[in-house]
Amino acid sequence: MEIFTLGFSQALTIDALYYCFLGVLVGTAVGVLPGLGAIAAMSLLFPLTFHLEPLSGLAMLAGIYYGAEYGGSTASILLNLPGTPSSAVTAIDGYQLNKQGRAGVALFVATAASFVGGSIGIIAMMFLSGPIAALGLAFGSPEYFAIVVFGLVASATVGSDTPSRGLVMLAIGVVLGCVGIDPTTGATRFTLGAVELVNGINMVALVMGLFGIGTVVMSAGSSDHAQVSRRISLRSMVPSGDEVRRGILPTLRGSIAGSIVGVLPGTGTTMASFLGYGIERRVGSSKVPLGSGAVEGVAAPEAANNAASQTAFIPTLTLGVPGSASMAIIFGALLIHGITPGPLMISQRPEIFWGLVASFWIGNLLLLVLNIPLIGVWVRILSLPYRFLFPVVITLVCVGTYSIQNSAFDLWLALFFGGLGVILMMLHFQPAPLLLGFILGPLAEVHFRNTMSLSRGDILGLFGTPVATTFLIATLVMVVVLMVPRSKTASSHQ
Amino acid sequence: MKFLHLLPLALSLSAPFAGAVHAQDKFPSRAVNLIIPQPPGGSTDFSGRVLADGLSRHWGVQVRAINVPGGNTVPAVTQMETSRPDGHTVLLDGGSSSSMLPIVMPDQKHDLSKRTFLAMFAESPMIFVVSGKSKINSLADLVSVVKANPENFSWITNGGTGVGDLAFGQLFEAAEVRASVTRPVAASGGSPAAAQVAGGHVMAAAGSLSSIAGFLQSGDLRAIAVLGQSRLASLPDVPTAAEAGHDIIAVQWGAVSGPANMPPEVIKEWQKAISAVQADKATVERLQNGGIAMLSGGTSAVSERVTAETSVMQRIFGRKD
Repeated sequence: MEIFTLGFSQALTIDALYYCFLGVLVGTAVGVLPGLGAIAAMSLLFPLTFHLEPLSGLAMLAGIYYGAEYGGSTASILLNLPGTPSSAVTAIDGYQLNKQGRAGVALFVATAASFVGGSIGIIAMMFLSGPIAALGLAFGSPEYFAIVVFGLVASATVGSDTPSRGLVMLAIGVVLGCVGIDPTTGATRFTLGAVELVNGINMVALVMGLFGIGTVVMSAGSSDHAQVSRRISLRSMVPSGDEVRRGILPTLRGSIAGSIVGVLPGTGTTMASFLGYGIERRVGSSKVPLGSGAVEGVAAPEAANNAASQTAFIPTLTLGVPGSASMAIIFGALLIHGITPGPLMISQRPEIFWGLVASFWIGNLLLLVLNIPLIGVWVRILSLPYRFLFPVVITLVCVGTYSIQNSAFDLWLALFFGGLGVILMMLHFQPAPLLLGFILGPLAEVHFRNTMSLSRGDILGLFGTPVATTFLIATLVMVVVLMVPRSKTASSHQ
Repeated sequence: MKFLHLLPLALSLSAPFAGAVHAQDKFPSRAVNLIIPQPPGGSTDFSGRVLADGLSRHWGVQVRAINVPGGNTVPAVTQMETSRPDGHTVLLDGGSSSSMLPIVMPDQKHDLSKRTFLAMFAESPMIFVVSGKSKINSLADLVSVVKANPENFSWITNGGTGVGDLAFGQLFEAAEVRASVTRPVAASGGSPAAAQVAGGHVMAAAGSLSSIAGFLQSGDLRAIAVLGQSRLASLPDVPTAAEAGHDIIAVQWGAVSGPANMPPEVIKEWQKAISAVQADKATVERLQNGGIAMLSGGTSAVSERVTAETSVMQRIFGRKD
């Protein structure tokens, strides 16, 4: 195996190790702190890579990227505030566990699932890069449309006890996603004349407003202050045997779903975690219902987003197709050093490819250390008394939101969504499906319209290929399965 | 030890404070902001950050690359136009923030004639690509395929007015067909676009070298024509469109522009600095690796480029069909 002969010898140099550690440390920090995100940190440190050895610079940037996925769950669990958009869904069960005094277990499960998910993602990268990359190429717009609809239906009821409420939130999210430039004609729509809305609503402003500001205001205003565990002892992190058993299958399912989603361009880790949670809702047989503090609800999304953050490298490195802004920064860092990501990269620059894979293993191990024995450090940051913590969080949310586009308008937007979040939560609507609709709606739209353009308006074009047909039929089956138990419960109520 | 490389960064971070002691009239007297009208990642951001890094080292003053994406570049352009014309805030200009603006945002009033074009920096031509399995082998083939059956021709659009749309607009002009009868397929960037064509889902795309290089290596894509003035060093066998008999030009270019009324000595200092960056071998190589070539030329070169591109834009997008 070249990873042992070549990879680790490259990744274990002092230089590469140092920058890998720096990357995962920065990544965990921006992940833990709500508001700050990986993209801002990566683009700030990007010029530094000009002057580093290629592998060191890449290991650092990559470390920030997947490190943030580890850190993101911490604030979700402790404060009900997602540190990253992809951990928004982890808050649903994670925060409930915290309220039950099981924060330590939730943090442990999140990290363990993250590690398993990351590992499965790396293994997929080591052994399946070729076939997985081919899978990405086999997907055209009909396939993307089918898989997005599948994802939408699979997670339609995320975080809501009443599916109808979830669907309302989903629909609002889809509508918000329509703001901006029409993907095919380039015409602007629903911008209310605001130039700042021409490219759509900034996702970070939406997430930070709905979840960040909204949650802070709700927690500050509620009398039953949720007990943030001030101290997480290592002992309190040890899950019971039953919890370990219940966590295994969701972790594996989440890892596989995340590995697949990560490969697809334009989907990202947020869709992965939602899909992981959605699948658990459908196929999981949890004794504790999801949404009321089930370890499954923490394990599945965290495994999924970490698996996705690793497999996202597959199309970037082996096809030269970066699927997200973060991956585009990695892509740029490779180009700077004269490495052309593509099918020949593994054979032409094996030391970089395998060195990077080895650094992922090292980085994931470092993250395990940073997030289990050293979790106390992060917890202490987040367990300041609310009267100190919340102003800090609001400040970070503002800084983070502003730094994405250097736009003051986005701050107003975040404030607006903060208000909306408060109203929704007071009315017992969960904001998570709104975010899902906001992310998936535009994807579904562009691929639907592309499919229609390719088939010249023939609706049967959606069933043009076996993959698309399979996913659409799977979606139909899921809808039927969804409907059957509900009509049973409905009739039992009568 | 490689940690020493952090030193320039630390120095550049402290530079703004050091700069404060210089006399006010000397440019640059403090940190310089280079506004990039695109989000992080992607080739424009890439060239902007390489330029900022080169300028930082040339002046010994921090040059910050600031992304102000979205709004069809209007927020970035507005920020540049409303800043003081002392050279400390400039825009990484390009087609989308100059010649395309009046087409894309007709109700926005940005007077291009008042903008101070400082100097050209870099360019990367679009390249027509088709699937490696396609029967199309030349630009002539492509034109005849479009002409014979425009209703079946699928191509990648960047949302109506991108540089790729400019390329296909000219192709349709050459084939004498209307764009509205073809099958445009939207893609969210150069790389996903390349994947759609490589996978055989869409017939053709116009992309920059960095987004197609991987698939050219694997044979999943075939380059048909370079839509610039000359052939590319890395694709010596691919002719330019002009060589293949069609005058199609679609180039992504980058220049540096400032607000109106910049003092001549600041303009001169900027032009000197950009030339110095362009003479730096390491910087040239970094850009070349990203499929971007240096492009020299001062104020007149930029304004000529804008004028020429504007007239093509008006011809392609200005008419209603």
